[in-house]
Formats: sequence, C-alpha cells, structure tokens
Amino acid sequence: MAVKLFNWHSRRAQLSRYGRHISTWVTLIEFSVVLLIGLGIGGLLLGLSVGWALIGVMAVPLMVAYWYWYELHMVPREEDTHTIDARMDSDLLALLGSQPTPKDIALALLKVNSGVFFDVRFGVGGRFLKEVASENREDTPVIFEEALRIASQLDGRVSGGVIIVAMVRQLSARDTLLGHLQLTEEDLMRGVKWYHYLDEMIQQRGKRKRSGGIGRDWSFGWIPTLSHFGVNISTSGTVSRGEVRPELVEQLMGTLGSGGGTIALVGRDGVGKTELVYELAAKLIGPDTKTPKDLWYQQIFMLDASRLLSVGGQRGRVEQLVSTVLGEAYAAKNVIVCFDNAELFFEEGVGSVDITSQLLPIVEAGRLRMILAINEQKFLSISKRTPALVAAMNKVMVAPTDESDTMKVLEDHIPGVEYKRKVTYMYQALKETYSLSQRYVYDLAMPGQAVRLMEQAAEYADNGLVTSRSVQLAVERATGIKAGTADDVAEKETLLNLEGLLHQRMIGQERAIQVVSDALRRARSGVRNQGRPVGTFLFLGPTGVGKTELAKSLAEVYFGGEDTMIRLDMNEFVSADDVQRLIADGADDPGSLTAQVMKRPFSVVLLDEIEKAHSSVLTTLLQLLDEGILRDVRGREISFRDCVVIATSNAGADRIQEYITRGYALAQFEENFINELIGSHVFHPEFLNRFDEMVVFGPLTKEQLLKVVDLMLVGVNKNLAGQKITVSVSDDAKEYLVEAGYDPRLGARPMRRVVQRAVENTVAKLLLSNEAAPGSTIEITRDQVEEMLSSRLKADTLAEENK
Amino acid sequence: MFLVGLVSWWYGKGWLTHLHKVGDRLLGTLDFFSVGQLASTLFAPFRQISAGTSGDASLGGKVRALFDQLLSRAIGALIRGTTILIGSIAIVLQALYDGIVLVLWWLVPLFPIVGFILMAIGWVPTWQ
Repeated sequence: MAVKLFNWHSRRAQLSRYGRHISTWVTLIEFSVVLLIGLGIGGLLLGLSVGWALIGVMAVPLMVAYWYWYELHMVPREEDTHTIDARMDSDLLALLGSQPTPKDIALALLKVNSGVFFDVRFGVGGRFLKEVASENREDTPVIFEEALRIASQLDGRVSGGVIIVAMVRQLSARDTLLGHLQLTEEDLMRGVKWYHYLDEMIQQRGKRKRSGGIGRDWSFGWIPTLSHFGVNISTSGTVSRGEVRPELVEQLMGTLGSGGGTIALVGRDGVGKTELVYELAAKLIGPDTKTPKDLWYQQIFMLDASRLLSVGGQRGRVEQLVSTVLGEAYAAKNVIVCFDNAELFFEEGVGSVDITSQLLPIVEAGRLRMILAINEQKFLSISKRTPALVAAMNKVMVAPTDESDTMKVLEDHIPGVEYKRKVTYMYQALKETYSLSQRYVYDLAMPGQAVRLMEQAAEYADNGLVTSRSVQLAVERATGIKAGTADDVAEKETLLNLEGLLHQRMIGQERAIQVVSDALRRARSGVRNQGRPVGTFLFLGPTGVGKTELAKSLAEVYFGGEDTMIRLDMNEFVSADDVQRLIADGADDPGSLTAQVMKRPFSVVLLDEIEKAHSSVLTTLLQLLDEGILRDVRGREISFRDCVVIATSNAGADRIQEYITRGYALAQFEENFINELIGSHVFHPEFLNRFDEMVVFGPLTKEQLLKVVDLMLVGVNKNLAGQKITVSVSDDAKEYLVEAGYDPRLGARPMRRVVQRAVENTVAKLLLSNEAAPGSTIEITRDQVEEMLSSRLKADTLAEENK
Repeated sequence: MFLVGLVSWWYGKGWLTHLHKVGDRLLGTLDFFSVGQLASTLFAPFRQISAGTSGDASLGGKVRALFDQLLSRAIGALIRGTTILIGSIAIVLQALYDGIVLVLWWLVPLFPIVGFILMAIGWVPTWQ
C-alpha cells in the first residue's frame, strides 16, 4: 500500500501502538510508582541507602504513566497530514498491521468503542463486516481513500464509524444490506456524527467549567424566598448539544441583553420551551464571546408552580408570594425568573390563581428579566383578556422540530434514559420512534411526542436492547393498533384466509369481501401507502344486502371485536354546523369522530348512509380519505392511517333494482351504475375519487337467502347450547322462511324478524311446556312455521283493526 | 526506541502539556475565588441587602437607612476582602507549587542516576 495513504511506521502509528501496549499495564505502572516511593522512603527511614535507588527508579514508571495519560491513550490527530495514520483514531490505528486486509480492519473494529457502538446501535459493525469483507489487501486502499473523503466532509476524524461507512460503500450488496436493516447511508453518517459528539462529551467530562465562582454569589443578592420556591437551573446543565434551534437561544440572549424585559416563549406543549430555557441558562453561566457581557453569570430560576400553588391556602397568598419572589429577584441583580407552564398562573375562576395584576406593572417597567413559557392557546386568551400585558412582552414563537432536529433531540436524551432504565437503544428504534410518535402520540408536539414514546419503549426492551419492535410494541399496547408488519403465524393465517373467515358471517358479496381482504393484506405486509388509511371503501346498494354486516364482520374477524367499529349515522350530520360535532374535542364530546379514533386508532370506521350528510361534512372528510388525517377543533392531527374507512349509501338503490329486474348480473352493470351515480351529482366526483374502491352490493338471491337462514339458525343453536338443545329446521320450512322474510325493498333485513317469530318462539314454547328436554333435538317443520307466522299475522291484523 | 521517545516527549511536548494543565488549574482557582469580581463589588451592600426609604421619608428614617446601608456595605467589604485575601494566598501557593513541579519536571529523568549515585555513596539522612 502506498505510504502516502497509510504509513505504518509513522510516529503517530508507533505512538498508538505504544499506547495500546501500555493500556493493559497502566494500573500496575501507577501502582509501582506508589510502591517504589513507599519502599524507597521506608528504606531511607531504616537507614538503607538502597531507598535512593528505589526512589530514583520510580521516575521511569512515573514518566511512562504521564506519557500515557497526556498523549498515548489518545494520540492527537495530525490535522495538516492527509494520510489515514494521521487521521485515524489511535485505538483503531494501533490494531492495524502494516498491510491490513479489509477483513483485518473488520476484526480490529470488534475491539474498539466506535466499532462496538455501530455494532450495537446499527447492527453494522465488525461482527457483520468480518463475514463479508475480502481478504485481499489490494482492496484496502479504496476503503482508506473513501474514509478520508468521508472524514473531510465531517470533522476530519477517521473513527471506526467512518471506516464502517467506507467499508459498507464498497459492498456490492449494500442496498440490500441497508434495506434489510431499515437504514440508509444517511443514517450511518448521522451515526458517525452522533458517536463523535458522544465521544467528545466523554472527553470533556472531567473538565471544570467556569461559572463565576463564589464571588458571583457574594456580589449579588440574597434570595431566600426565590430559592425556596424556585430551582436554579443554571447549575443543572442541559442534555442538549445546542445544535437544535441555536438561533432561538441567540434571539433570547439578544433580547435579554439589550435592556432586559420579559420574554414570552410561546409554543405547543412538548415543543421544547423549557429545554430552550435550560440551554440559555447553560450559555449564561458558561459564557462565550457571543454572550452579551450584561448577561454573564446571570442565573435563571425556574419557579416551581406546584410548590408555589400548594401553599396558596389563603386567598391572595400566591399572588403575594409571587410579588415577594419577583422583588427578591430584582434586588439580587443577577437573576432571571422563568415561569415554566406559565398558563397555571393565569387561570380564571374560583380557587385558581391569576397574577396578571402583579405582573403587568413589572413587565411594563421592563427592569426585571423574566421568561414566561406558555402554550399558544393560553397566550391567545391572555392577549384577548389583557392586551397590555402581551404588548409589553417580547414574544418568541417556538415551532415543532422537523425530523432531523427531532433525531438530534432523541440522540441527546438517550444517554440519560439509558442510564436510568439500563437499556440500549438501536438507531432503528429512534427512527421508528419519530415516525410512530408523529402518528399516535397526541397532545404533544415534536420533539416532546417522540421523547415520550422513546421513554415508553424502554419498557419493551428485549434483553436490554430497545429495537424498532420495542417501539411498535409500546404503541400497540397503548393504542391497540398493529404497528409492525404481520410476523405472527396466527395473524398471517388470518390474513390469508380472510375471505373464508368473513364468509362465515357474510353470505354472497364476493367482490366486496375480496377488495376489503386485499386492502388489509396490503397493509399488514407493509406494501401499502403509509400516508393513507388502510382502505377506504364506498359500499353502494339497497338496504339489507350486507353492507353494514361486512363492516361488522371485518371488525370482529380482524380488529378484535364488533366494539372496535366506530359507527356514525351520517343522517345526524345534515347541516353545516354538524362539522363541529364531527371534529369536536373529546373532553366536550366523546362521541365525535376524532375523539373516538384518537382512543381507538386501529378500527373500522363506518360512515352509514353517507349520502345524507351535508356537503360541508363531506368536504371535511376529503382530507381523511386522501391523507388519513383529520384535524380536530384544537388543531391536532388525528391519524386514520390504521383505520379501514367504510362509507355506505343507498343512493341509486332503485336503479340497481331496476337493472336486476331487467335480468342484468351485478358484474354487467356495476361500472355503468357507478358512472350514472357520478353523473347524478348525488356526490361530487372529487369525493367519490377519494375512495380506493366503490363496491356495488347486489340483492341476495334465493339460494343466498337460504344460507342466511342457515347462519341465523347457527346463531339460535349457539344461544341454546347452554341448555344442550339443538334446533333443526326442515328444508321446506327454510324455503318458507325465505319466502316470508324476503322483501325486495328491505332485502334480508326482515329475515331476522321472521326467524325470530317462527323458530325462536316455537322453541321458547316447547321449552316452557317441558316438551323439549336437555340433550334433545327440536325438529321444526314447515307446518309449525306456517302456523306460527299466520297466528302472528292474525294477531297483527287484529291489533291493526282495534286501532 | 521507546526510551528515546519517552525522554524526547518528556522534555518537549510533555512539559508543554503540563504547563497548559497548570495554566488551566490556575485559571480554575482564579474563577473559583473570582477575585476580580469581588474587588469590583468590594463596597457594595452584602447580598444586596439594604434598607429602603420609600415607606418612611422622615429624617430619622433616612438616617436609619443610611446607617443600615453603611453597615451592609461594611460587612460586604469585610467578607469580600477576607475572601480576596484567602483567594490570593491560595493562588500564590498553588502557583508556587506548580512552578516547583514545572522545574522538577526537568530533573525527573535524572532521578535514576542520582538515586544510584546516592546509593553508591551510601549516605542516608539521619533524624537524630
């Protein structure tokens, strides 16, 4: 290999190898220093001159120990040299031979922290690479060149991570590998940056930070009340690396530095307002050149709302305390007061606290520096109620973070969570956390949404490792949805036999069952569009042909029970005002569509008789059908992306009947019928276009109705199973039931009533007259059915006449 | 080779690195005692505790407030002055210690030779 690319004999490479050899002995070397000094002094005390020699010899291990800790344990990079030995981490460099093959490099990666980091966090490291790397040393220069190229795009450092990315790029099957691991090259690059940041943080750990010393406190004021009710966050530090929204921190410093005043940090819950204040506090207590001199060593005290409010037994006590606290802060001259969750201090009503009147003159005077972290809605209500207060404050809006910044926040939070929960997160878990939290964690904005889910996922760690599956499990347990793809044998079986299972409850309507089954299979195998609901269907047809029954069957067979079906009768949404009811907040109307889906995101949503809904309601539903999202009145995005949305309509039922009467089969007229429906303007074309499928349900044939009777009898027998009685209905009796129960206008709907009258009533009478004993089979004949139905008919006629 | 590397590092980069560390330590101590800040606020009221006169503008009240202020400033000056004194002593002592170590640093490689010479001479300190 060319020396200009990798010089094994370079001084740095040599020092790295020294460091590696000494690292195993360093404790012993340090111990020998102490021992030699001890023995030397002891010898001198005993009058033995050999003590001098021992003390003198001690200098050698002492010098070696110093050399190790000052240089060899991490030999600094040579920034002005562009060879791999000048840039590579010394621990990895020390392990390389003079002519390493890619496999040798992979084996070395197994022994260094950066390699282990990638192995555990990404599943790509020495363990994997040693299996696929070549043993040809001619392949190594390409890897080193690639590594240097990658390093030049970052911070110039060739760590184990950089080498791993370079090696992965040389693999012919890299796309397959990364796809299998659910990673991209960009993820690996992010991983390199993450590792470099963590490593840097570890290196800085022991270094003392300057914070103004004891003079800082003795120069400023005495703040007993503020110390009691507030927390000095300047001393607690921040987990943030300061790369997320640095411009906002600078804006805060700029505003506070240019004469003080009050800042209102406004943003949705979870958006990171408090974290920003922590970052600001860290900047002020460890100032750099960008920090205005006025703010050096200013301390931020965060008022503990719960403690403050808990002592407010007497009326006006909290307001009095706030005045005292602010007075102390002003006198102290080095305190910035932060009201976290400031909305708690501006509540109206009996028993609540409102400090507006205390705050207004102070904010207007602008002499005390204050920060109010407050949510958007409360800020709006304050601005409506007390515009003068809001006008006197500097408003700083905090927007939710995007994916890249959210990932940084998660990376920053990981060390703390891992330490507390004794787990390790894979990078894939972080990616899954972002995408799932966006869909299933409501009430919080990014990055709070993702941080919450990340913490919950720790509960589902497998052998201490939090994987993307752990995150999916956390979501599944919390919401009932199936977040991952189908990997369970039973579930796969259900999906493959979905048609058969649905047909156990449904007779006929093969096409409808087919399209619904296909949609679910697409969803659970992971090939569907994730940005839409699982399936959106418009079921058209006359009443009593099984439209609603199919939705119920689907809910029971796949979603875990009929109660997972969310049913809305759209004839209750006939005016434009009803849109509000559709998207109402769960606290005001738990029956609203958005509230129900928020509670049960994995469900069948049945919009019954959709043609009766007002056009504004249909317009509202467009986004739901298109993107699987519906915003509620509070502006929260409610995800319908795990729902099957079924709308039913009787529109054109007469026309279907007409086609059937004229002898057309369903398949022959379905397309024509849908075109006619579009032309009839019952629905706008853009509404109909949003559905994945429009399925026409034809009237049931006589043979199908006979099967419906059989299904109903199965239900009757199930009810009687407890009494060990079986009911059997003769074939001619069944035919009679079909004749009596079928109505061209109402489809099979009257059938249940007829079966109830003819069969269930007969059985009930036999049971009460002890003519049927447990273990017996009741045979019901056509005559019995006829008699039962005709007596009922007579009774109905009599009742009608009496009226 | 190893010994040559060790000695050349000791008299070159090693000493400079140690010098940097000594400098950092001294700056840390200076920051801890924050002598500059204490000196600039030497006569300020202690912990900013001072009597106000807004409630009582009578001559007696004003005199009492003036007396309280003077007392607070005197206490502040005493405490800060003492801290400045202790801090200065600590900084000087630390600088002396580190200075000696920096000088001794140059002599450490000679310790084995000196040790063996002293052993050969056979002299040992006596404590009577």
